[in-house]
Amino acid sequence: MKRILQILALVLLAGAFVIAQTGSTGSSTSSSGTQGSSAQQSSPSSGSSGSGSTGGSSSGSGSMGSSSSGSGSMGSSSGQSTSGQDQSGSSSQGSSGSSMGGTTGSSGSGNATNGSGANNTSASQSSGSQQGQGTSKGGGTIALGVFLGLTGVWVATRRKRNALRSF
Amino acid sequence: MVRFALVPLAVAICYCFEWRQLRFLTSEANLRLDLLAGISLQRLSYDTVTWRGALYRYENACTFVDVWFGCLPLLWHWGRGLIKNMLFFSGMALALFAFNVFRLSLSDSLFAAGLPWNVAHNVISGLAYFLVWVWVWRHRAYSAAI
Repeated sequence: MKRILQILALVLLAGAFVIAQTGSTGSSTSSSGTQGSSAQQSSPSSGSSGSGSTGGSSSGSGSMGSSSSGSGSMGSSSGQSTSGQDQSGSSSQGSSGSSMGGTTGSSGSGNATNGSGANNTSASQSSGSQQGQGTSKGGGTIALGVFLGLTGVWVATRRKRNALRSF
Repeated sequence: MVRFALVPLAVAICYCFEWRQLRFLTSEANLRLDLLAGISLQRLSYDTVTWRGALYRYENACTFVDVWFGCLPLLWHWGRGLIKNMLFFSGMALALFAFNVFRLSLSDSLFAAGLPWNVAHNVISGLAYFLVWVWVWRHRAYSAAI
């Protein structure tokens, strides 16, 4: 009886997770590109500091944006404003590229020249073109390989130790 | 044996969800811890940050939620009451969260120091999984002994 209750509790817990997740995620997909673009659209309106770029989700981003905004990317964004259409576009590139360092400058300016509506030349586009790939913070096959390898060594060691003990 | 067979099922259930809040929390904690270490990530979205021009996206595996789910069938103690089990897994969730954030920040620090991503992050991830596994195994042995 006790086990049945616990199983029921687990089922309820799983149901709660399902409800919580479907309620919270809604229909939005988790593509980072659209998230990035919306974030960048908010930043030009607030200037080039990039403090509002997270859409209000983070309070720590402001300090980081300001801490790194003085780097080379600002120079690249100003250079880009000569070929671009408006200052707001370049400021958005500046804010988006500000923490990325000098390497992002050139492609950031390329994006701004492409888009006359500068605000829509978003961070997702610029950073996507800069890198060509997004890096996941999750593990991968290498992590799995390391885990399996270490576990194999661990199991072998344990067996060896147990075999020695039996003697 | 049944417990081990249930682990993939539990992990599969875990991956049915997006865990958006947890991904945001993990990324935020990682972001702040990195800031203490002098690494300034910039947030682009709830699960995406950028650093030195590269995008980093926090997926489910980055939150260790799959590890927690995988531990459920292994560490659920039928002899304990429901409340005690819930308390145990709540505490474990907090501990795993802290451990995971530390893992991510350690990876970031190593990566910032110049190590390749595969070494700095993926090898460290494998090592972290292994440490959790050893802990689970020892905890099971300890619980069985009690």
